[in-house]
Amino acid sequence: MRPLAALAAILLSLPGQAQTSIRPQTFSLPNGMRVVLLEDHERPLVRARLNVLLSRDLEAAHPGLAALALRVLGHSDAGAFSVDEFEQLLAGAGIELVPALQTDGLSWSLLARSRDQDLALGLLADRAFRSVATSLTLETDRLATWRETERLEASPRAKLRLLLEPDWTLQAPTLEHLSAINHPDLLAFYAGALRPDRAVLILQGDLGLEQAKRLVLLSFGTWTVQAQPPVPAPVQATPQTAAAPAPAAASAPAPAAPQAPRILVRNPRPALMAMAVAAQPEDLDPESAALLALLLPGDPALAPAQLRLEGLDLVGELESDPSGSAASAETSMLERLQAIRQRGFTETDLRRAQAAWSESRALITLHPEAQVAEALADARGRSVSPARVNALTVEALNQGLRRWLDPARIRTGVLAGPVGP
Amino acid sequence: MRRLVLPLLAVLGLSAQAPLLDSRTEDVQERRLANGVRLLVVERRAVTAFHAALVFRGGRAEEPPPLAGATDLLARALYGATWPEDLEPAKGNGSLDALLKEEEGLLEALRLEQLRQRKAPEAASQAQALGASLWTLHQAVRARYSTSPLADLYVARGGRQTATAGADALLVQVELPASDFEFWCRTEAQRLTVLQLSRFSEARAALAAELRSRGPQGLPMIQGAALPGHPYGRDLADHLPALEAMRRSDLQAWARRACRPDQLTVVLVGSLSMDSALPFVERTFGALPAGAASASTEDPLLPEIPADLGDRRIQASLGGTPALLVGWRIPARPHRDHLALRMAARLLEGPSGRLAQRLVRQKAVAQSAEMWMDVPGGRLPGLLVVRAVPSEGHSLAELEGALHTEILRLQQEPIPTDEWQRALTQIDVEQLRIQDEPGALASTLARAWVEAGDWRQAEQEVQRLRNLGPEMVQLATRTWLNPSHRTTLWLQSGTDESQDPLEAETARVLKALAATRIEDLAQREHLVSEGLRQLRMLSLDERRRTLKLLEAQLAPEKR
Repeated sequence: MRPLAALAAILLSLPGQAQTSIRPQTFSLPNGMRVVLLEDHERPLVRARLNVLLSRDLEAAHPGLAALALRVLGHSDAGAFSVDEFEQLLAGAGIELVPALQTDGLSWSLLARSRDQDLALGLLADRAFRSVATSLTLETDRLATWRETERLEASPRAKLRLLLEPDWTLQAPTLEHLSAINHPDLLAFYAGALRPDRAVLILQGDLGLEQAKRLVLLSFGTWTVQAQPPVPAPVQATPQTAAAPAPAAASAPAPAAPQAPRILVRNPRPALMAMAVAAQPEDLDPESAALLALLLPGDPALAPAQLRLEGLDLVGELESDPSGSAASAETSMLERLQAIRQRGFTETDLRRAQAAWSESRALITLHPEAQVAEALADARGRSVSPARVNALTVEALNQGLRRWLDPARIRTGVLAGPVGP
Repeated sequence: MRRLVLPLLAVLGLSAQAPLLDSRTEDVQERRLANGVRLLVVERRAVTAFHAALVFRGGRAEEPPPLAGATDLLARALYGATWPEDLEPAKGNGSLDALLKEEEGLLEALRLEQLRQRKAPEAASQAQALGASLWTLHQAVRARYSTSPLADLYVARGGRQTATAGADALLVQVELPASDFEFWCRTEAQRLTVLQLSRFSEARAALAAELRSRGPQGLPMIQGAALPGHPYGRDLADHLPALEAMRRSDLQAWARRACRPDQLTVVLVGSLSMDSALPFVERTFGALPAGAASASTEDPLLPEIPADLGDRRIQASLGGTPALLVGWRIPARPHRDHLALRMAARLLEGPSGRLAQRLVRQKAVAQSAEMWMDVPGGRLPGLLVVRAVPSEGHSLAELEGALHTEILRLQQEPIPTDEWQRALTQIDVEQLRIQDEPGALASTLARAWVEAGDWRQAEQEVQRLRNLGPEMVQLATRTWLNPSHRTTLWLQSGTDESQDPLEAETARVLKALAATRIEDLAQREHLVSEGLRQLRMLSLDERRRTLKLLEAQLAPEKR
């Protein structure tokens, strides 16, 4: 076949393919839980993600409570099963159930053969709201949580990244914070956080709407809002790291160059790397965020620094000569970010980013997990609208840029060798 | 056209306990172009994009020592991004290529000057002047780069690209909308034709900085001890001088050999059929010149290591959490016992595996236990590695004992039917997931071609796994997971290796001895690194005695 004919074949096939995109179907349970179904019978698989929004108040009372609570849940009996029986049931059916603590709350991701969907959703429900949190493993879990958040086994770079984490959910608690958490605090957390009216369940794969309704009602229909125990008293603990600076207005002047790095992590070998982390502003519209996430990492003004998006954070890294000064490496990293902030993007940049974003929509069909994530973002009101992307102005984009790279919002630190500044 | 139908799902449905799965089959179509490029196409009508994997067989294991790190540099400098200036074939005065050649000369001059300075620090140095010239040149080079924030051609079209350097292959994965397929074909063929490597010096500096700051790590240490003298046992960090001496032209020459058409398989999964994809692939990839059929393009002869090299032990203090690493030399993927060992690993690993159940939950001697198969690759005999972290109050010796008890149980006690069935079910689900994710399917086919010599093995092995019996797994574990194939590494907490006085003193003496015999600094540093690694396998007393013997060879004023 000649190339021209082949190209025509590819292009002609596109409109038909576009119609194959999966239309989300939504429904709710009487207890307030929302469900989104992405029906796809291509393969005998079912994916699910149960997401529960966390209240900032709960975590503010006890930093580290969410991480510890999730770990304790993983070691608890659930429903009618002991923890060992629960694990064996999952393994016996090849069901993957992975918990995660993310900026958008607690979530469990599930993958199962469609023939095991009843069992899988039942076990997910058992884990989410029928777990019997025991105090027996609390001390072990407390220590393990501390080890994990301290990243005792992690690389120095990972430790620095954690210290710069701006999100309250993911920040590392101190051992003091964790030690202050007791069993009643955990029970209060479960009662306050694990509520059906805060939950969204995304289902994707080989099940139909009626089947999904039946299954979800059977598994999650008895989930109710528990009586709220008294809110635990806040812990007065010394913060482990420098407190995150309060967000400032977009017009805030850039602070003076730091005299010394605020956060410094030692590497056993000679190294010097400045890291800057900028959390996405909470009120930044998803469209500006999506386009800035495309434009910023490839900006040549950053060279030789690297910038990438990790979750909702922009993370910049600048490697410097290990014999240099930590403070100047940090300043150099910040200067690059501020140069972009002050320069802004042009109308051409905006148009190219809009085109790139629109084109990238096709890629989601390659990733079932991304379809689930997009449906969740949509259910939480954080999805990116194609119409709003196309309507975005360069002024709005640059306003978002100035807020995201506001120097008062950026946390910086340095990875340095075993000796030196 | 020869159509090859994957009977995977049908095969999985044969299980007595598993009901029939979806009866749809997957088509993998294959073509071989005249210049040697292989093309595999898996059509997925439900998607509007394509996932392409370019896999170049070879990888780190085939790098000669002076080019150690070349695969990693190709992953970064050739495939790290798709810059428009890297696709410009312009040559001659004032072109980017000419500037990059000039940069290469300056970088080499600066490196030699720095080496001279290390030998004779008191001599007058040209380093500053060379550094200034290099800075000016870099400005000229950067002026040729695109200034757009969306300069990467694939990102600008909504795509993404990653490249991974492995022991057996360089794997490049690209995702783009289906309408960009022709553009992708042209771009990739042009990339391989031009081999511009405009970011070579930055990529080399970044890789060297990463390796230098990383320091010794458990997995490379056990690879080095278990596979001595073999490319699979090589730690790139020990070859820093060679890496820093590598020039852009060296890497270009290596790329012409390592990325030649007969080393390349293109795997396409997405909305493309073989009929629609083949014409473009033939016109672009098919036009790449075939490699010359000379001795230099033949597969290199790699040393063979006897699997039963003997029980080896290493102790090291890297700081951080103590950990136990045990590696067994296992056969390459095409070997008949490899599948049985894969099943054994399946029984041992994971949250419901024996290691997590017995060592972590029941005996509570370990905080965690992980397992890796085919470390660092599967094309040649490699390692099966267990890494376990002891719980508070339990020693590494206790953990090691418990681990060996589990291995013995696997070798000697009958494997319960439900446990066996559970492992088979997990394989079912894993296969379904691979079929469901185009990227996973592409890399699975690519890996099977690289490691087993034929992409069809990706599905045939699953069929053979189902036909295995527990007794075959036990036989294979008795043959391969035994002390004579084993290497054990105790990573102890406490002081960092750089502060271990015995190691520091041994390094000093080795360097002094090497300086009297080896002129080339790169070779000298490599020899010292290798010597230190070998010495770590000895007991503390043996290391002390060796140090005394080495000191005795030094001139008295240098002791």
